[in-house]
Amino acid sequence: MLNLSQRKAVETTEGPLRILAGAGTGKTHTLVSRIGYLIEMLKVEPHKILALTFTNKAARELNHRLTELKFPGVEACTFHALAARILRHYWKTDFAILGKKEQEEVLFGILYPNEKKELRIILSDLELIDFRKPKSSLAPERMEIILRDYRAALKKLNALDFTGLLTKLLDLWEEDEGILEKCQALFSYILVDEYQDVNGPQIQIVQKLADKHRNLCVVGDPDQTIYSWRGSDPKSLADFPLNYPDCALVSLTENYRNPPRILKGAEELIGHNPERLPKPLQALALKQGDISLWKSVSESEQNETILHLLQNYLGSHDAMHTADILDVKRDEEFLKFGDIAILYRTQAEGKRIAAELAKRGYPYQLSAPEVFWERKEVMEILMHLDQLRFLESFPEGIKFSDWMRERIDHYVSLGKFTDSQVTHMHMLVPHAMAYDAQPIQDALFDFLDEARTEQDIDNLVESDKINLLTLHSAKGLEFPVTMIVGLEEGNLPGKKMGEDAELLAEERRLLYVGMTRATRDLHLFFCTQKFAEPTFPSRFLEEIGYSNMIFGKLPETTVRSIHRKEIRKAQMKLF
Amino acid sequence: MFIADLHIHSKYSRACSRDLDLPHLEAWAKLKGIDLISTGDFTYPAWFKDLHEQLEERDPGVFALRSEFKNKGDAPVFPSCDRDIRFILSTEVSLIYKKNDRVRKVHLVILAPNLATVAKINLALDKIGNIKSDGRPILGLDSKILLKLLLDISPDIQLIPAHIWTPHFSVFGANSGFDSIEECFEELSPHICALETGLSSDPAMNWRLSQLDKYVLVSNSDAHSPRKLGREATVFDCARDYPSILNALRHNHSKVAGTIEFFPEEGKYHADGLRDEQLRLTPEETRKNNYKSPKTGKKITVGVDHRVSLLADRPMGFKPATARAVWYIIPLTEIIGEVLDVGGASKRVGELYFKLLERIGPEFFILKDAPIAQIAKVHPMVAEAIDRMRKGNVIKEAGYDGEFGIIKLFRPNELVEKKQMKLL
Repeated sequence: MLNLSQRKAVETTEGPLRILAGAGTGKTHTLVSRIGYLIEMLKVEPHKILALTFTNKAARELNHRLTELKFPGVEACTFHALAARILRHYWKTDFAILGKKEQEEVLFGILYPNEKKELRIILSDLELIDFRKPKSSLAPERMEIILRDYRAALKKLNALDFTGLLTKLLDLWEEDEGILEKCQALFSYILVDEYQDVNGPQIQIVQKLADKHRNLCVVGDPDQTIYSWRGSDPKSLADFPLNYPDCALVSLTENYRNPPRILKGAEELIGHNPERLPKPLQALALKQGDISLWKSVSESEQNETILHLLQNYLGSHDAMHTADILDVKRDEEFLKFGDIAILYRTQAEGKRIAAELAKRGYPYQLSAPEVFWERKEVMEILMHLDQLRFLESFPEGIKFSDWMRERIDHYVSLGKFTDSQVTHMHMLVPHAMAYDAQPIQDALFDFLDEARTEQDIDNLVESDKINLLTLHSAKGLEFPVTMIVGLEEGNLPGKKMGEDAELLAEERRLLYVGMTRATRDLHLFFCTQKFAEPTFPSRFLEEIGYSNMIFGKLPETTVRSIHRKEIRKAQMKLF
Repeated sequence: MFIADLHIHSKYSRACSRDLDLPHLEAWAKLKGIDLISTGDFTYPAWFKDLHEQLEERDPGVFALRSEFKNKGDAPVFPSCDRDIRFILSTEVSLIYKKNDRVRKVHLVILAPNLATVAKINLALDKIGNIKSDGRPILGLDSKILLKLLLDISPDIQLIPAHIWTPHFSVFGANSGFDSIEECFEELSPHICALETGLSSDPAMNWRLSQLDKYVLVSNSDAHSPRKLGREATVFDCARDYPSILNALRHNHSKVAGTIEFFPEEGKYHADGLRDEQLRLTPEETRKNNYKSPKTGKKITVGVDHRVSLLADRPMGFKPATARAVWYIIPLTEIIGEVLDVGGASKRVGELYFKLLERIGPEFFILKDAPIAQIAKVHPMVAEAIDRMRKGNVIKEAGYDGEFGIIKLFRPNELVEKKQMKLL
């Protein structure tokens, strides 16, 4: 089933086409239908169709959908995978592709000792050198030298990093027109998903590849550009008709995902961004559902509010006597853990919420695990610490992080480790400091627990958990109940973002992405005080429009018990 | 014959007494007269460490407290109650998940044959969820998938659905359970062999379902404090080791002599009714009234007995050939409380309780086996009360809609009259 604009998007097969697909308008469905239409109606051979995606995950999902619908053989892959394939075929077969970890190792060998603490920032500076100003504290002259040495080191290793894959491909086509022509002949229809996220070299690659047949279809939502800090060009969709003046334009504006009142708030928010492409979304879902705003005097009150809401949605989960109170006379169906997402701007906020959920026994899944935790030496030291839990008698009067530093040093002295491995192990110490207030054994348990959650991405057995996600990683997902925390000035929008119009627009898009995840209820939270400093409600709240929200209010008894707890905590601090 | 309590909690479970450590467990098992007691909570890392340090394996799969940890608690020690206590490794998990479009909440007891197997279970569950924040971990996992995972670790692990009729958190629970074991465990159902009746049901209620004939019924305390150990229990007639117990549960149900039970009417949700209107109804009456109060038209809160009657295919009072023995008990402190006409937690109750134990023996012995004349020597009215309880001569007013039921051994004023008789 396709609506009118979806149909147009599917059947406009020849020539350049830009599809603006707003949140929840059935983008993937339309893309897959378009591929099906090419194969079934136009009898295009599947291998002549190329579908490019921004992430491996998106490519996997698209391939999965295509196989399900019995359209296998279509090429759905990322830009990097495509570039690697072409390079191996036409350039040379034996080059290596460096992952983040290897890139860091190469860079580690180049940097001066005092620069090593900025290793990650420098690396991202190198990757994005064509797109943005460097963020590290190094002088431009020094950066140039590092870049030169880094490139030389890659060359010596016969290796390319991710950016290198793209630029090398463009170079190869530049040098040898014949190869470009052969590549152009590979595909007769090209689709690019999430076109708002592509960067300069990626745009050049598709333009060159589609140059002959010009059957290029790009899909995206400029209001969901949230990766310009990674080199994405927010104007890529707007500029498309400039490069292809004859292109067809389709806008998918019928939203099937969000309840009308939630979509209205989200649309009013994004309406404050300048220079938008017009794309007024229309809510077709006949669903009840509101934006609730929760004001808290502190982060702990906010967390109590979250726990209260969870109880309402999930029912009781631990003690039978609460079950009696909560579940007995209830007609509404309960949700499962995975139906709920809590979204936040920074990982630190997420970790604090995770700690609260853990205390109450709720299962949860933290997003965006860093590759750091999967390093061999990091896993090794964690395993060592894990064994110590039961063997060691724990000293008193020493801070957990200091104790851990000692243990790491001891462990290092027993084996052979490279300098970089030792540094990585020591990078655990700052994580340990978060637990310094606890006795060492308790701290160790909690610390290892956290570490394991970080690593835990590929469970064989899937179990249902509450989703804790950064706003960035929530993109493309949807949840019946979505909660967004931290709507304060200085947090969302972030401090620096508030002063720069472009960064501010991106923060607004980020919140827009978060809001449009909710298929049933959306809860927004802000605190009037954080870490004993007063905070102010995010300007975005006003932009969403207070008239589009209902003001959340906890039952009197709950409020009283929260305040009692707060007072008790404050009193404890006095002693 | 030995008395077993296969389902308890440690101090690491939510809302549990701080006294629930191994020395206290042993001391109270002696006072209660339990021969084999569950460790509970074996998934919790600190508790698992305690099990390692404080227990030693005596016979296959059963453990004794190491001598240096004995009598460490503050519980009284009476020669009359002394006995050899064994521990068995078990834990409870709480599963919350969606199946066939409904959220299910199911509690399951896991029995494990040895500490090495427990370590493997903990490793596997640790990957799936958080086992470090609660002695009874909450997992978003399907019951069947958990069973599969356990059987893959060891075929000697036994899963027992816990307190199967509790409205929340059980396989047959009215609010978030299933209508049959098969609906819950599908093709793995044959691996389920025993069901825990829980405080909210007695074997007679379960006998009304022919689908349950193939299971052996067990009873446990699910205790959250040492004093509640063994409030319900299972009597085994086999060797006191893991393989024999497993054999009794799986193959030779006659090795389960029977269960020690509460009167289920005492539960807060046994009958149907409305608390506001002091209206108590039987399942039949509720159906006749179309689930609405005849007075106000309000929706009636249905109880456990109603849920049983919906799944039952036999009349009340039916007893299948497979039925095992049942001993109904009232906790001794409650009996004393009624006799003395004071609350069960009062000091006078405690004094008489320990006096009875010291003179006669463990609580189960007093309730179940001790000659009435022997009890009468310590306290004649308590002896009279226990005699009535053993004969089933009990006044029961079923609980409903959150109102506790009332189980009494004497008519109102009967005790006063007796006292006056004495005076005359």
